[in-house]
Amino acid sequence: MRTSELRGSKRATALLRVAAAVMVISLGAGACGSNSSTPAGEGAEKGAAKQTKGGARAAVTLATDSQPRYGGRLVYGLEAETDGFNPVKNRWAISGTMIGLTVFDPLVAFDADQKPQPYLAASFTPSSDFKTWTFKLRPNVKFHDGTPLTAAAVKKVYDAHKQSGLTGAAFTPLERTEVVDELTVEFHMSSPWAAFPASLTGQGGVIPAPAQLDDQENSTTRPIGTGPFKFVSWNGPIYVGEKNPDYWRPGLPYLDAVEFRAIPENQSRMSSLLAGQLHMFHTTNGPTIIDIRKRADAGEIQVVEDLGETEEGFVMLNTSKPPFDDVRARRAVAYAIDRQAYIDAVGEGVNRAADSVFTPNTPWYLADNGYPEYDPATAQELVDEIKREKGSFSFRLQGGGVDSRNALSFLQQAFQNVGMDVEVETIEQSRYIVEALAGNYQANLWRQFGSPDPDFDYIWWISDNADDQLALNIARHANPDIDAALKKGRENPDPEVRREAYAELQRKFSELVPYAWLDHATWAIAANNKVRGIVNGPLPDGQPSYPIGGSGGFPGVHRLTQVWIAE
Amino acid sequence: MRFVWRKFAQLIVVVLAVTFLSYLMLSLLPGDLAQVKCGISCDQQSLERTREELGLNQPIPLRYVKWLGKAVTGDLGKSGTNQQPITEALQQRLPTTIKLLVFSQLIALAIAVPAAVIAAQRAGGIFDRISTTLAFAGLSAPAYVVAPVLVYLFAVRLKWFPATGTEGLKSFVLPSVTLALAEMAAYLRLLRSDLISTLQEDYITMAKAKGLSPREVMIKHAFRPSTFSLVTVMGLNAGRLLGGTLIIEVIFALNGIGSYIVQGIFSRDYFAVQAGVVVVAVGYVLINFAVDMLYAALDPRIRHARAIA
Repeated sequence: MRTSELRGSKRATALLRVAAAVMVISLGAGACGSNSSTPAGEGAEKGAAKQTKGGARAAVTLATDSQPRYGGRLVYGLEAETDGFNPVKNRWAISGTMIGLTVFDPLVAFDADQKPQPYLAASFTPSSDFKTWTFKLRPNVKFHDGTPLTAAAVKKVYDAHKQSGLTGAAFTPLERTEVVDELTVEFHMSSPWAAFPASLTGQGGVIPAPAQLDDQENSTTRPIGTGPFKFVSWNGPIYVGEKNPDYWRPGLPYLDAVEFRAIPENQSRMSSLLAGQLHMFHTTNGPTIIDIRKRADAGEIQVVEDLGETEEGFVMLNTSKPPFDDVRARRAVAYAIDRQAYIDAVGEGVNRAADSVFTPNTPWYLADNGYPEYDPATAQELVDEIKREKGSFSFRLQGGGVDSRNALSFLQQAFQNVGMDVEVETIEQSRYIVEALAGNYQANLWRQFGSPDPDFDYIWWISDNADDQLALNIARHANPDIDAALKKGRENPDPEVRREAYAELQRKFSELVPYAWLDHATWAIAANNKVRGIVNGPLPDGQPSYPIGGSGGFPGVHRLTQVWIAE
Repeated sequence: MRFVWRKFAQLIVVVLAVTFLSYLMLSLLPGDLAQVKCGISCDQQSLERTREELGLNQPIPLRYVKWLGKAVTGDLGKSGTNQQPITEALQQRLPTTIKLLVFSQLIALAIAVPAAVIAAQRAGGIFDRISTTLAFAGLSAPAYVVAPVLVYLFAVRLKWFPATGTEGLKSFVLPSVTLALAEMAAYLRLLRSDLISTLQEDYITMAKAKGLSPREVMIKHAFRPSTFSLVTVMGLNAGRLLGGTLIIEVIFALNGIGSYIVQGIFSRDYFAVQAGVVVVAVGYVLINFAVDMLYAALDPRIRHARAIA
């Protein structure tokens, strides 16, 4: 174990450069037996980094038995149920996307460099002005009902998205979709959209069969896709899929069947893994992750942590209402929070402190972006200044659901320490979201923005969406420089230009503080020692895949296409 | 027969009252099913449309009457979140909850009855004192504490039973035992004290005087008359247990009525919660109906009294 750790660490350094998204893999001694002497190969699936608390990085090799083994039924514990499998009508969070990627294939997937690559599409090419995208589809791909994948089927999906109250907003620039020939489809935009393919990696990019969309009665309950596993049954908490023998990716999938069980209790998922009812599960729960790490260190189980771009926890400030229509008030909030202390107190020290909307492990992250460091004295000065001018500095801090209680009381204390007058309240989750969209709040504890490609979050930051009755720009923060940066990032294909655009976005966020950052969420996947291929294997055209997360803008999501169970 | 009809009429009144009240409460709770359904990027227009589709624009009494009209024909509607017909979901889930209840009662009785009999025979003896103490511990330990301990010992460490799931009878052992622990303690204490007081009755002294062995006295003369309060409490408990399954089913990921209700509450799925509550209410009333019938069987005086009245 010790030697493989040392050997792995060199590999991991290389990997950090190769794979933009970094994750943690720790491997049980049991799985690290004689055949784990193979050093980690190229690509993210075989090696990774392990991070210990305090930022020290060690690494281990993931056991690679020589040959993948076919067969078996993998049981996966999800954190929540999903509301259905029609990508146009349902709302996939991480659990929904996990299932969705077994029955459907997305047109696009991220490679290890976080660049969109063809998946179900054979290729995609933009026009020079990035207002037209031509997607070629892979030939001889069949839906599970036997009908072929055609350009018409793809057009049908995007026509439906445009009509959808749920997903339409994500495709605002998309004007129309045209069938060019049997396997070619053109997307026409009203304005340049260079980052378009990045929107097609999850719910927005999967292609259900026309028969599914036409089935008024069962479109949400009977998914028909092209994916590695056909739909068998679903009763809410339990979803079962069986191997698609005609899958278009040769030799895949390895498993005979997948079963997803929604077990909302973190502790129950953990016990079920240890007692053998689950092969693997995912979690963001601090105490559970600590337990997983401990057991992984002891060799009992394996763990993979997504250290790529994940959701940020933050205090969202309503910039259209006092006191936070004043930038000094927003800065005071940022100065008042000791983020590491917050993480230690509220999340058992598991998450990483955030000073930006991106994690340091993404190419977009700007290190010295000017975000206010913890400085209670400066916060106090700002508060005093505002109080002198306006008489008071008081606001209500809200959180969604009772789970936010600890975080709220920590923050209340921090804000009171610098002289702010703070009331806290927890609100039931769905009302919390509506009230926030409607702008009926001052400061909200929030978690969002997990996409590896920043353009995915365009709709939440652009000024156009800041003044509607229900505003997607929930902070109601309108700023022309941010708009310019977002448009540049959307319209320009050059990675350097985009990076500079999003650097500007971060500088503006740090200067104007519509969001007071707290932490980057940690997604961990725990697996027993027999599971292999936990991180995404190579893409259809052979490029190393983004190892974990990213699909549909979600961290923690991975494909089960190349997962197999060792003997 | 009149007795049966009267109970039946009571059942209908109770079910109507329970369903209406729960309908009312759920509708008055904060949270908006339409918003949940419509999603975060939902504009006012689509929100209204969703609300209309779900019939949430109508006044609550009207919605209730419409719901009731369909419910009596067995159509409980579709889940507001995942579109599964609720009747189908309940059919899938009811057996799980029933198994859980039956097993837990059987386990509780299997331990409580013999223990109570032994304890009562030597009231104040060593067995009596130990079993009373243990029963007290069982009563005071809440299920959400007992469950993780049992899971850790018997699922994670010893791997005798699964930690979650509904495959086979094995997976019901830990949840049933968890539920049974508190029940068992209550039954033991109840039956023990009833037996002790029965054993002081004159007719027991008479039976002893006739030369019957203590065992015969216990089984033939003392046991049956001592079970009335036990049966009553079992009936009442069954209702409480139906509620107890909410926590237990969530912890053990048993997909029964309890976890269905919990899931429904979290996703503001009024129709699902409503249906779950009806099942619990009807179940409760039916069980107590059965208990009343059982009284009549256990104690002829009840039959006669009712016949006269």
